[in-house]
Amino acid sequence: MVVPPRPTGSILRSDARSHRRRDEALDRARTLTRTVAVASAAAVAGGALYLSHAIPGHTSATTGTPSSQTVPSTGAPAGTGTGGTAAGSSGTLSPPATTPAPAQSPAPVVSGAS
Amino acid sequence: MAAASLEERTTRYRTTAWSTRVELVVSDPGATVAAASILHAELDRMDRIANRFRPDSELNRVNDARTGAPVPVSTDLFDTLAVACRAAALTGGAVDPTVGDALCRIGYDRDFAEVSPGVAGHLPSPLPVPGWRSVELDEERSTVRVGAATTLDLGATAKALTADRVARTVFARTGSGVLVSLGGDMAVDGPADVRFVVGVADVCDAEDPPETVTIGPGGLATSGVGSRHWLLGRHPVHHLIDPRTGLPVGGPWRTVTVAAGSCVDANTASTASMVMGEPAPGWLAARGLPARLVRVDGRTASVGDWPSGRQG
Repeated sequence: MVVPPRPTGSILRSDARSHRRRDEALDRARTLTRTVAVASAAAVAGGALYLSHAIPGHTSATTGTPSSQTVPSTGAPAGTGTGGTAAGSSGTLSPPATTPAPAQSPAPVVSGAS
Repeated sequence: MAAASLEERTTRYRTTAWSTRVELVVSDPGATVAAASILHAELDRMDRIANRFRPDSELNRVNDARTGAPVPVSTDLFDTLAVACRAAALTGGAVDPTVGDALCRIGYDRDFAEVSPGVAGHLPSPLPVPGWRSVELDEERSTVRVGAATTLDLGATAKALTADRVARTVFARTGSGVLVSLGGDMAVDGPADVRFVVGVADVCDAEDPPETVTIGPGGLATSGVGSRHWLLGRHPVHHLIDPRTGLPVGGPWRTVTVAAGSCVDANTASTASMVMGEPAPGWLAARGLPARLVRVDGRTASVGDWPSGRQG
């Protein structure tokens, strides 16, 4: 039976070099991944900041999200009455819940220009 | 609930603010004192933040900054500015909060009581207003940034917003049906079946309105050239500004009355209609807003479900 020769010292040194090359490659990949992640985050934040100032007349959030149209909650009448549609706070002008009806009795108040 | 029977039980409270008539009607007479107290609190609150003629108002702090830098503002003013910008956005800029300088150019740079006798000067050349898009609101920081040459005027929407707030608060605290009229811009809140009888006329202090209707919860507003007009030198001018020219509106309508889901929306639509001119009826109809429009020559047109031709 032929016994194969034991690895020599030069072969051991070759394995060490390949391991070092592998580790170096992994380091480069890790650095590249980190760089891409940081650059992406910076690009998103920069784009959001640009958009928040590029659409004036709208509110902008300072957390880096793109600006969004103002949706105030203060223009609506109470939600308990039938007039409580989201008027004043929605993206459209809301029609009345009940339309005006003709009346015959005297009016205590008058709608007119002031 | 029948409007006529309700009418017999309502109580009315009247005062003045911002050079105009303020009226409060409650369906439960026992709620009158509380409702009047709420009314005055909200009038004071809005006056402190948005009165262009009050030197210490928060709005004037923004207008006086003129640096183009963000100015921190209270939540109240921020919300009021947001309502104004929303009105502008929904009307294609016809209702614009940056008309302050245009109003000053035609003499409306002080309380109307001092302007109404007439002011010296000449009609200026057309100059578009800076435009609502130049107003930047930062909700998180509660700041507003306007151009260095911009003066904000929140007259129309701030008044309507106050009416909505008063009506909402009165109903929430007292349970009474309530109608609030600030210079003819009305907000109604209350139980679903509450109704109030109101007149519709060119001006809010008309003694004999040509039309009478009942309205329920929501808003009713009238814009027109029949009030807040004065002489600038020898030129008759009024307070409704066309943002495209920076000059008083000169369209076909004398008065536009609109019913909507809130006073803010009704006022926004009526003011925009005055600015738009002939396209207004189609614009209102497309939004399902009942309206009554009176031409300069007195002819009347109705839009949507407005009870045309019915008079009280």
